[in-house]
Amino acid sequence: MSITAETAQAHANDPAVLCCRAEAGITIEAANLEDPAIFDDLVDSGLLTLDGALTIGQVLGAKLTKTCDSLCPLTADVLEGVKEAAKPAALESAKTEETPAPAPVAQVAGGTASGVLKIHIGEGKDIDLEIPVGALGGGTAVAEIPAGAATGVAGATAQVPAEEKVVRTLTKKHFTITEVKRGPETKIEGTTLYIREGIEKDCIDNQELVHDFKIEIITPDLYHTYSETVMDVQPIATKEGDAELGSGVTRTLDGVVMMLTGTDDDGVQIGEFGSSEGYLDENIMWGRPGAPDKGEIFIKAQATIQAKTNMERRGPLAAHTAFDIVTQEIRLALKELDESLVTSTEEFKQVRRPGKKKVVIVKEIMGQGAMHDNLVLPVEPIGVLGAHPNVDLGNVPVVVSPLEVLDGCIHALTCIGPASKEMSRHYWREPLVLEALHDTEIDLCGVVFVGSPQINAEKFYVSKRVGYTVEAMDVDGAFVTTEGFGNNHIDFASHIEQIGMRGIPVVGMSFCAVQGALVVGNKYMTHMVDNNKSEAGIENEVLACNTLCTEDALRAIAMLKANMSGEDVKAAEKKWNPNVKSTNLELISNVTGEKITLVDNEQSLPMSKKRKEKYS
Amino acid sequence: MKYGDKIIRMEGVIVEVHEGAVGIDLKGRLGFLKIPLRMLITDYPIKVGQEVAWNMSFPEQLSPDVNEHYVAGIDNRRQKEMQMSNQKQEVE
Amino acid sequence: MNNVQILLRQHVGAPCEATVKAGDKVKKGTLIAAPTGLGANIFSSVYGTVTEVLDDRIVIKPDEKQKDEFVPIKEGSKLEMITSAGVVGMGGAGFPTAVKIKADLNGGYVLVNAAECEPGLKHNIIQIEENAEKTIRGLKYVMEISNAAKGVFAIKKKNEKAVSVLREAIKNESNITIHLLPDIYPMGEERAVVREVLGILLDPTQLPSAADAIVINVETLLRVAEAIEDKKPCFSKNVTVIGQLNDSNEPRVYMDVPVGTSVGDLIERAGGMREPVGEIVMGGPFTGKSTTLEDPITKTTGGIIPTIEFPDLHGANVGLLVCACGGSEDRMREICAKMNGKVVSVARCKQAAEMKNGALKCENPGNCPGQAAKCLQFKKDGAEYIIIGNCSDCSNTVMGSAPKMKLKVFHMTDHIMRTIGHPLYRRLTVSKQVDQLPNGK
Repeated sequence: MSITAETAQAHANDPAVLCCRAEAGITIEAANLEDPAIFDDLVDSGLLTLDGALTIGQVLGAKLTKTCDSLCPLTADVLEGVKEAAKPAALESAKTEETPAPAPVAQVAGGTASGVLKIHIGEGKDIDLEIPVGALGGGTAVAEIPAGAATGVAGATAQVPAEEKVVRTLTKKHFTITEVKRGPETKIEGTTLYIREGIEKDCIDNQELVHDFKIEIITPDLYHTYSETVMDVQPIATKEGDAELGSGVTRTLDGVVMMLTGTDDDGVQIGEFGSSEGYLDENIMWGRPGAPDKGEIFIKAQATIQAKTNMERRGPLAAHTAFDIVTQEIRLALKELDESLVTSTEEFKQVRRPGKKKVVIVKEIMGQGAMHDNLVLPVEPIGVLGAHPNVDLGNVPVVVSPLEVLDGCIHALTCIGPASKEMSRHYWREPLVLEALHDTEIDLCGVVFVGSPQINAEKFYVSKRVGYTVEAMDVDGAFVTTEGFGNNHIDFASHIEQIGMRGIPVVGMSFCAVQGALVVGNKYMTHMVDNNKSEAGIENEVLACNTLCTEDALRAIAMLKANMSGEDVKAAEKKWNPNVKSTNLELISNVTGEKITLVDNEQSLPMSKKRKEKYS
Repeated sequence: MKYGDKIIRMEGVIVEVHEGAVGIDLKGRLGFLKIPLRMLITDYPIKVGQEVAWNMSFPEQLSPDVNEHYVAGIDNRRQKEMQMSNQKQEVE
Repeated sequence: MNNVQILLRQHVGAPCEATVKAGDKVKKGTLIAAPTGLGANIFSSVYGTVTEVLDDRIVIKPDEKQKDEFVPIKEGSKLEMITSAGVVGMGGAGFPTAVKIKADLNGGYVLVNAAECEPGLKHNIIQIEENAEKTIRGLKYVMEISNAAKGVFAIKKKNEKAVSVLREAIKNESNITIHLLPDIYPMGEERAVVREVLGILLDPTQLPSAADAIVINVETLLRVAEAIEDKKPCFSKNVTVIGQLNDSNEPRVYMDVPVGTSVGDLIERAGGMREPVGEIVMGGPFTGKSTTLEDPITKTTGGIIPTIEFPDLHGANVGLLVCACGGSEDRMREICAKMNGKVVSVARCKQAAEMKNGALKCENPGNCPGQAAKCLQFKKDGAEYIIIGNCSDCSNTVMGSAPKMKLKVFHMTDHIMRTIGHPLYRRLTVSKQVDQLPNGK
């Protein structure tokens, strides 16, 4: 449909196509031109070929020498007075053409960036990702700017930077476990963890719905073991003394993780859709923030819950609660350990950076019901006691500190799909929080968790609260992340809209690729990062494969910086193209000088027969 | 897929509502579909008897081969279900 | 002669209130209803007896013998006489003429709408051919009342005879000219006339007075002249009857049809309908509505068109492209139902702006804003056929994309165009530009 002068300006380098019949002799104006936003669909429908088309910028003001019909690309042979063009128009130009500015540092302080890939989401049916093409993230680069130098961007940044302020710290003391055994009591001796024999009975007795409970110790040599659907992966950690979650000292065990699996009495997988059960080594994407690392020992429980409760909220919750009895005994043992056994200590500082671009992370967590739920803010890291399910909280936004996130404030009742869900362990090592916290160019003020309710009206209810929450924070930019795909993309889009309409730059992160294409879109969804890692862009049933990783966090941060500094964003292609991501990471890496190593995907795993067939 | 672009509108009736999923009978006795809640877009509280619609195409076989992984999974599940029901009977 | 039914609302504004009661004898020209707010006087169009006064109409049984004489209106100023005569816009809108022309155009323009844009209608052009002098006098009265310096006839170039008659008639009129229009729908839209003649594109919410102009229908001018010169109240209407008629599908033009005559009477006068008939349209093909044999002619009725039968789509999925230039969504849905189609998608032309009263007006009549995105929508919504209500230019654009997407296109006027042997609205083959007469003479 015809476009306005502003749209024409914005699409000056897109191909010029007549929207309607135009007679010889007229002067081409914006109103004569079709909206480039629908070109992809038109090309797909065979309605349009863009061969030889001049750009909108070239044809405006030119005189048409021949009467042409609608959807006719304007070429040089039917026009007089065409402007000199910088670039030939072709849709493909969007994806690779942009190169990072040679010396972006000279332009701005704050988030400096060159061009960014933009993905246009027309009506939201074909989603595309948007990825910065040449964003800059290097702290060293910015340091070259003298303090107080005039800058084109943030007035605040131009002032003498205020002192960094450490709000609070969190210390994680790591103890190493090399062996897990069963014994008469739960205890830790040196690097050996004993789990009390018969603890299973306590778990069964504790929860009416739990009818059976088995514990298996999976050492690396047993990775090729069949397992029921993995419901959750959790670190073992406990607070020292009276410390609250997110501050003080947390003790944690390295080399071992808790893994919950289960079925109901009838053998039906808990939360089962599709077949995510199988051999562990073929179904786990090692090293993802939410997944086990290779070499770790799993304390794997298999809970059997009352028949038919696998689809009810109480069933999975009972399994998690029973499982926490085991973890809690280990926590108590961990509290007793001698300091001398600490193998490493990590210190997390919640740093505020006044004067820097203030950003917030909004993380959408599932809240549709049943196992689409999360326990928020337990007393112990990833515990159960003291936590409130976000469904019971009405899914409204809950503001937490970044350190609370990293200290396990979310106990995730993870469900489908395995590749894109964020396990409890994911929050414990959340890459976006870590990267944002450590990035000296931005001021991370907090993390907002918001549930994703089932019904649209409730989705919009909570997203409006997100809008006001973020508005009250007075931030310069925001990230919105979600996990998985489905109707949560409706509120994901709405969160972005609510933030965007307040004039706050926002970057969205989700698994999209092919299978998770967004169901809705809006005009604020211009900066998007796709968390996909799978080769084919699908939910590949491999645990945590498509969750948010460091490489995604880096792209999102670079993009938000670019957005906040008003950099233009380029459109990506309509169809999902994984090369966009690698190109952008390369460009980021070129600017920062730091090599970004991409994480592996399912191709690195032993090829299960199912994948062999799927991908070959 | 050979016929992947042949999109047809399907309608169904919600016949089961669980806390995490819904079961949908396809109208015209064309089958049954059980999907997680998050794959259902809802403007109203979900009730049995509500009609739903979506676009879909026809499933096509990808190859004549059998995927042993899935066969194993299915066998395993059947066995387990059998065991479970045997156990139940013994208890009774 | 059958009973005459005179509607109490034949104009923009509130319904009139009856001033007669059942049993009253009335003459041709007797005031039978007066406005309560914005509106215009309504007169009996026959000699006879009032048999019923209903909420929306007055029913009169005509006498056997009808004289030509009528009750004249009171002498007064020109504007007063137009008011008394109850003249309203005869082009279809029905805006009370006295209210419209009671304006100070500061030496601006009176634009005479002689586009007769609805295909098939001929009464405006015949009127010019047969009665140009009186029409021009009507124009001069309106120019005088509204303080306009110039009068311009906007007429399609294809009406060669009418144009030559007009040229002759205005030869010595220094301030009256002719502007030729291309044969494109909707050149007769009020704002299209302003744009074509004056080169000013008004917003949909603006009246022509924003361009120091008024646009007035050619028949309205005749009624103005009749009111002033003949003291004749407005109780008759020129009507074209065309379509599925017994003798032929050629247009019949009837001058001075008494308002209140039933559609059936008029069709009988034209020789009767030839069955089978799909529907009877009152008004033009684009903006008319379906009617029945019992419905009466009003001051704004332009055409009566019995049509051939509708094609049967056997319940196929249909998308509707609603446009300000054609029927409302309701009318489009009616046509779709008559074609036995199932509406699965409705789109509105980008330029169709909704007015406060719910009516649609085109932002730039006759100049397409592009329709490809709408066709994509129809395709997505599963439509197999589409029915469009667009103007010539937009229809052309639709044809640029819909068939390639395998959408079969119907225009809402197709059944009428087939009936009257007019080309269907599809591809545009004529230019939107026409050469003007030298100095508009």
